[in-house]
Parts: sequence; structure tokens; C-alpha cells
Amino acid sequence: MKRWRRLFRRRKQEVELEKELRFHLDQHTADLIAQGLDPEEARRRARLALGGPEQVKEKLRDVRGTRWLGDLGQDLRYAGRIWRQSPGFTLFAVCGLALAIGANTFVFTIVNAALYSTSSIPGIDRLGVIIGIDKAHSAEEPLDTLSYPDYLDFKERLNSLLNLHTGFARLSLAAERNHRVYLCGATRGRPRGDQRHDEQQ
Amino acid sequence: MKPTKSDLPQGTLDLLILKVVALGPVHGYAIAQRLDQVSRGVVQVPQGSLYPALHRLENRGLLAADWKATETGREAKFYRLTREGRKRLETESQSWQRLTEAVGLILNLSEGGAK
Repeated sequence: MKRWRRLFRRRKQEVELEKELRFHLDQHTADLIAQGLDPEEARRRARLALGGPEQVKEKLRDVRGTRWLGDLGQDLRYAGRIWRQSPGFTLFAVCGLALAIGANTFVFTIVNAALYSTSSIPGIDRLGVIIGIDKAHSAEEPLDTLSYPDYLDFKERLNSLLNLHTGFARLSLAAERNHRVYLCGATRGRPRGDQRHDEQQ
Repeated sequence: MKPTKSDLPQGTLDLLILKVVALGPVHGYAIAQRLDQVSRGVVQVPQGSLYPALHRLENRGLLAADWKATETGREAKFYRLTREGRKRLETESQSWQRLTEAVGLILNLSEGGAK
């Protein structure tokens, strides 16, 4: 808060700094002239004694804590000058940045929509996966597909557990029979445990 | 030949400024002159560090400043001591006194006098 008030008072402060130092220099010069020095030499010595008004002012600004603002302005102006000096390089840099930022945004948008967006599925925390295993082959690996009649059976008997979606193409295409089916209640964070559903025909 | 001038020990400039200002409202140039006279040119106060010190003390609320006209009619920034500045001056000068006494005692030990 204090700092902001100081910022608004900055111009006044600069004027006062100038005024205070000028007063000092003039007084010192007058005293030296009174001692018999010629005005030119007196002024020179007074400035020397003070140690260079600009350096002193810089130190004073440091004390006051407004120097960072002036420095920032200077840096920005310097950057602007450099850009104007070499427009080709500036264009190159700006285009490079633009491309990089654009590519990042593009990838992020896709990844965000594909991986992180979950709002489109109702009851996401009760989502499950149905996997079929063929008993005849007694293979460990699950079947790639389940038949549509299977889907209808599941839908009828497991209503309370899951809202089955036909969205999966593999559910609707298979024509295999005689396999055991596991219903895996794979839920987010809270596994529902395996529930066995035997004897599909 | 000029007398050799000593540098001001670190931190004593603030104390000296507070002391000079305590004598009455005074502007920067007068402070520099007074310090010069009082120390008879033995202690050199670089004027370049006088003003930063003044503004630092003002910032900390130990000094206050007003613009007033001098005898010659020009406006100058007059510094005066605040209540807090006066307290600081007291504690600082006491601790300075203690320090110099202690150092003086040690330096005055006559050889063989220390048992």
C-alpha cells in the first residue's frame, strides 16, 4: 500500500530530490566563492565533493525503493530498440514462439478432450467392463467380442448394476456362444469386485 | 599539510546525523558543514552518502522533513527529529559510549599492568 502511494508521489519526489541536491550544490559553491575561488572552480569542487549528483540521486532512489520501476521502463525501452534494429530476427523469434505456442495449445486441446474430459458419461463412478472368456478353449485371454444377444441378456439381468451402453461395437458383433463371462465392476477408486455370471448359452 | 582523515566507522554516520539534527531543524548542507566543523576535518563525511543516509532515516520514521525558506529566501528541505528518532539517538549514543569506554580501557592497559 505504502509502495503504491509512493509510486504516485514519484514525480514530486524526483523534483524534490533535484531541488535538494541543487540547493546543496549552490550553497557549497557560494561558500567556496566566498573563500576566494573563481565561480567555475567553485562549482566544480562542489560537484566533486558531492560525488556526482546523478550517482547520489541513484542511491537516493535505491533508498526510496522506486528504482526498480525506472529500471523496468529502461529495460523495456531497450528491448523495443533492439527489436526495431533487427526486424528479421524479431520476426523469426515471434513466429517461432507463435508456432510453438500454437502447437502446444493444439496438442493440449486434443489430449484434454480425449483423456481428461469425463463429463460426457453419466454415472462415471459406476462404469464397468464386461469381458468374455471362452470355456471351450479354456484360454486365459479374454474374447475380443461379445454377441448382441449376450448384450441383451446382460442388460436384462444386470439392470441394477450397470447401464449397459451399446456404444461399444464389439458388444454387438460377436456370434460366439458357450462361454463364461466375468462382469468386472471396474470403478474409479473403489473396485466393486468381480461378479460371476455363468452359463450363457 | 592536511591532517590525515579517518574513515567513518560503519553505522556511525546515522548516529552523528541524529545528533546534529537533534540540535534543531536543519538542512542537508548545514548538516554536512556542522559535521565537518565539529570533527575539525578529522572525520570525513562523504557528502554522497549523507543524503542517502538522511532519506533512509526519514523512511524509517526517525527523521521528518519540511520545506522551508532559508535566511537567503531559498527553499530548502529541513530535517527534524521525530519522537522515535530521539529515542533511537539515546539508545545509540549510550551503546556507543559503552563501546568506546571498553575499547579505551583495553587500549590504556599499561604493559605489565594487566595481571
